[in-house]
Amino acid sequence: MALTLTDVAFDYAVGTSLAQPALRGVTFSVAPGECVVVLGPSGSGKTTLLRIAGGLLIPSRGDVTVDGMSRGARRVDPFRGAVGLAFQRPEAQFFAATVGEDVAFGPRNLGNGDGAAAAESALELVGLSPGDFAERSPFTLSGGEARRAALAGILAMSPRYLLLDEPTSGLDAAGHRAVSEAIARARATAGVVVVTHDAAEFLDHADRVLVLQEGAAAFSGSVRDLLADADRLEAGGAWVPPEHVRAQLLARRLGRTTSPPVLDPGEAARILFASGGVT
Amino acid sequence: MIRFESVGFAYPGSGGRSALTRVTLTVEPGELVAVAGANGSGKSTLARLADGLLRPTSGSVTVDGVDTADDERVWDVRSLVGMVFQDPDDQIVGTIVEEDVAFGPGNLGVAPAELRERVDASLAAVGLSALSRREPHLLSEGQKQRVAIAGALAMRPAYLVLDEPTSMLDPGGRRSVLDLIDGLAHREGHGVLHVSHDATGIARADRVIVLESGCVAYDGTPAGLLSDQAMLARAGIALPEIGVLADALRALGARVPEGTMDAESLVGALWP
Repeated sequence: MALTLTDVAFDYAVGTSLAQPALRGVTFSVAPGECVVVLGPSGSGKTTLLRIAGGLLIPSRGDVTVDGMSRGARRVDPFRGAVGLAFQRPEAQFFAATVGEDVAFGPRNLGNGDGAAAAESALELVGLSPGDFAERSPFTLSGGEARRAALAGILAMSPRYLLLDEPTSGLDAAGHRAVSEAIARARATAGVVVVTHDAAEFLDHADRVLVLQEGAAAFSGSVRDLLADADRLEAGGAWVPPEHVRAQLLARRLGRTTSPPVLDPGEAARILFASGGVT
Repeated sequence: MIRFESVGFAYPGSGGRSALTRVTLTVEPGELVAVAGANGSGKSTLARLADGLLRPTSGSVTVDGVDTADDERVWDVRSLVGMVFQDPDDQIVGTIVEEDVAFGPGNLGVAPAELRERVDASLAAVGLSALSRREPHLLSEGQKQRVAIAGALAMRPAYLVLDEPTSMLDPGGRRSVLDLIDGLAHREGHGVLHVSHDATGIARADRVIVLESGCVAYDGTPAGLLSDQAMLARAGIALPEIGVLADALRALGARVPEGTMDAESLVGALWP
């Protein structure tokens, strides 16, 4: 079982003077239980990739399959119920009178009773207590609360593949923790793809990393290989590593250390301190 | 200056639940003031009060002495304060990028030659000159966020209110927008109110105000906030990895100044 994209390309505004390629042949897959983190500068094609993986855009070239089924091979849409996509601004999709109804809408439509139980546990999962939030209008939530409620709406459908576009932008520290824990739990059964600029936060979860640059894969591999390749990716403009990783790269360029960068800040401190000459 | 005097605010239909309570603060020209606080603490409400989009339920907000509740002077307030919303889709109206940036000053009646100059300068300031003829809906969210900032800059306001303007930017883009914000306040003399969850953004402010359940819980320097674990937790700010790294180095005996939030200063402090 896997959600697989093979040599996928996509062009926006085809046939107009504004035509531009967004993806130029990207191959990528995620299996249930795996987490893939997608990095890359603004405009590199991350959101387009996610929309293709979610079945919202049909690629101009290449194949997308969900557990071996492609669109058109059966009358049933293979994405339906299997793939949950949370938009970058998911609060744009609220419509119900209360948060509880909004979150229950998905599971109810998938035949999971009235959806109330699924909604309640999904709200708990994102750190919004149902007692405080289920009866509120979604339109009275703050930006960060709305983001979490919208994510709960996706989680409530228990998708096999969970696609998240910048799930923590605009969230406070508690929101970051809640989303991070929600991903860790969802991942026990689902394949998770996270598009993010916040590499430091999500690389801990990642089995694999894909770095996009101008619509093509600038890197694809493990976190360890990503860190080992950080100098090249940074020099080429594909990735600006988190500041604590940049500090380690800088120390290495100055000849202060020979160690490849690590993600854990405590371990990084020990390596830098042990490298000598520290004031 | 922008002056909040004991401002209270409750949204209509909220059953009297206050979004802000007795908030007093000032933003002077040339000053960069960050506003932090957990989700739902009232940051965006405060931002919308600063340019008169919302009017206080109690207390007053004045901009260069003009009361935002004065119906006669509302356009004066609007031309003094530029606003960049959290969601750029809330404010992009043009069919192509440069037209969107020209929309505000065009409405103010700016002459064509100057309009061209303002649009080009604003797009250059946010690094979008190459995309000036792109359709906004074909831009990434991070690019749209920069279009929204360019649109506010083109109005040449005395004050700028930025509601999480870097939340969707990549790290390179975030750094360049933070540099831009810094320059707007400290080189060009704008008064800037910057709503942010991001410790690296907060570290560059002259002053930080932390809101907690609509009240001011902290008003002081960024270094004071960033070295106060308890206040950081109340503000809903996670110390980024670079801050954790700096703390860990200090614990080992290295001399790293409080508030060090970027790689260059950290490495510079370790090996001067």
